[in-house]
Amino acid sequence: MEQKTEKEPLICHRCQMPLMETKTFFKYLGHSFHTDIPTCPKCGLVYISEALAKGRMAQVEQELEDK
Amino acid sequence: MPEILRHTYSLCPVCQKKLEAVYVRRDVAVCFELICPTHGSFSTPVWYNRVSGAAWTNVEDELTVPPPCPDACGLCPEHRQDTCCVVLEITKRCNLTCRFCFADGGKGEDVPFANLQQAFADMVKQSKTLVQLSGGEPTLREDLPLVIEAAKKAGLLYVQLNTNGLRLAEDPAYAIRLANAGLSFVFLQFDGLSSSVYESLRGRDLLELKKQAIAHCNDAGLGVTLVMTVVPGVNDQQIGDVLQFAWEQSPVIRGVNLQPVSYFGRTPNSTSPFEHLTLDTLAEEIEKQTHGVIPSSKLFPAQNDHPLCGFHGDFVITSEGLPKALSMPSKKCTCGKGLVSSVPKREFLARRWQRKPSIFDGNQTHQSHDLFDLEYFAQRVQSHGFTITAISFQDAENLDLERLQRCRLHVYDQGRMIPFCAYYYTPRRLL
Repeated sequence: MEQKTEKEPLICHRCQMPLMETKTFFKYLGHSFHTDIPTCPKCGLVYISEALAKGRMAQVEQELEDK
Repeated sequence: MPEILRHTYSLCPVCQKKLEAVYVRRDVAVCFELICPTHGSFSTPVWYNRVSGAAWTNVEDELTVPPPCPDACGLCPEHRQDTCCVVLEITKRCNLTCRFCFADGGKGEDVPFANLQQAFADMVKQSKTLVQLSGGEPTLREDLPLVIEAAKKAGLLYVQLNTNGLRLAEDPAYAIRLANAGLSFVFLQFDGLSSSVYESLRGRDLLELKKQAIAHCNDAGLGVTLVMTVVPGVNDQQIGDVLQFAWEQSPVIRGVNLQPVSYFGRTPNSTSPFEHLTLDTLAEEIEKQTHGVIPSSKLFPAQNDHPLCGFHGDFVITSEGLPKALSMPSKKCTCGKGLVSSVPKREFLARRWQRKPSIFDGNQTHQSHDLFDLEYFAQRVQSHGFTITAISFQDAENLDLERLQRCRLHVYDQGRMIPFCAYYYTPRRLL
């Protein structure tokens, strides 16, 4: 996958297809969530940005983990 | 045949001689037992097996020698846990004379302001960043806003007010003054939803005043956690009502802290009909009285604390106004880790108890009120998080020195951090 500038779409390195924002489901600690994530329309590879991983995803993990 | 489950140490409830003690499985309950050569044998039920005890099993090594508790408390090098929250008594004065009061408040004076400044500086120096202003009744101090400002100025991150709520109810502007001074959240004594409960426990009907106090905190943007002293035969059948009242008032009410009555301070003896309400009984009552909305399977012993010291359940209040459980049983093993930092737990509690607006507030038409939506979920947990916690304070009849060693709630007194149940320990009175 190649990171492009803000205006250019992300391209799947394997399929050379532009990624499309797609509703994507994931699970964590027994809870299921969805959010829109750039996804390759051909192979289904998803791109989780650093901002999402360190932002909302990290926050939700923190809220769900037992203290 | 009784089965000994665990050895530990305790004090004779009468003469305070340090003695061996055991947890024994008997027919109807697991009991905490000891024998004093002078004052005889003592047995107190601690677990009736009303919920599965598997998660509550103590996995730490048994004590093999008597610990220095409580004589060396303050904290000694053998203390096994970090401080989570610090209780600071800022006055001995009180405007109620409650039947049960661990601090036996009402007699005495305010702590000098300069001493409080010193205490705050001490706490910050030791990285203990959450203080509970307690008493007596802290709102009797005219300088309470200045005390809160001083705490924040010293560097404390979170300032909690433990209050009966009378002053908050009487003066609508008072909550705003406290919030402007930097108050983080309020712990409001709230024992039930009938006049008779307050008349029995607090000496007069306070229910409407409690509701006014909550409304004024709401206007000030302050989060309120209800603190219910649960007394068998008095208000133990109102646990479900209080929980429902609380979650229906989310987000101003952030949760409920249940405190089964313990016998110390003003009332050091348990006499019939008052007995200890065990944690498993409490968890069972929560499930029963909420008609399964709060299942006991969603209440967990806190990590690293002694499992008999309390439990917690973490929830989010949905847009339909019902609690949805968040916590899952932890798979993390903390055996043998020894002292574990309290910072994650303290930050978590502060996030729950502090009120935070959501970007979705006032935007009821937002397409997603769907808790499966990551963005909405993250916001909703912040704005409408809801905790149910229980603290089972120890008293002379069930004081386990191992539990004291693992205490994370400490009282600040002249430079020392003393485990809560050691500080307020009151020997049983001979009748």
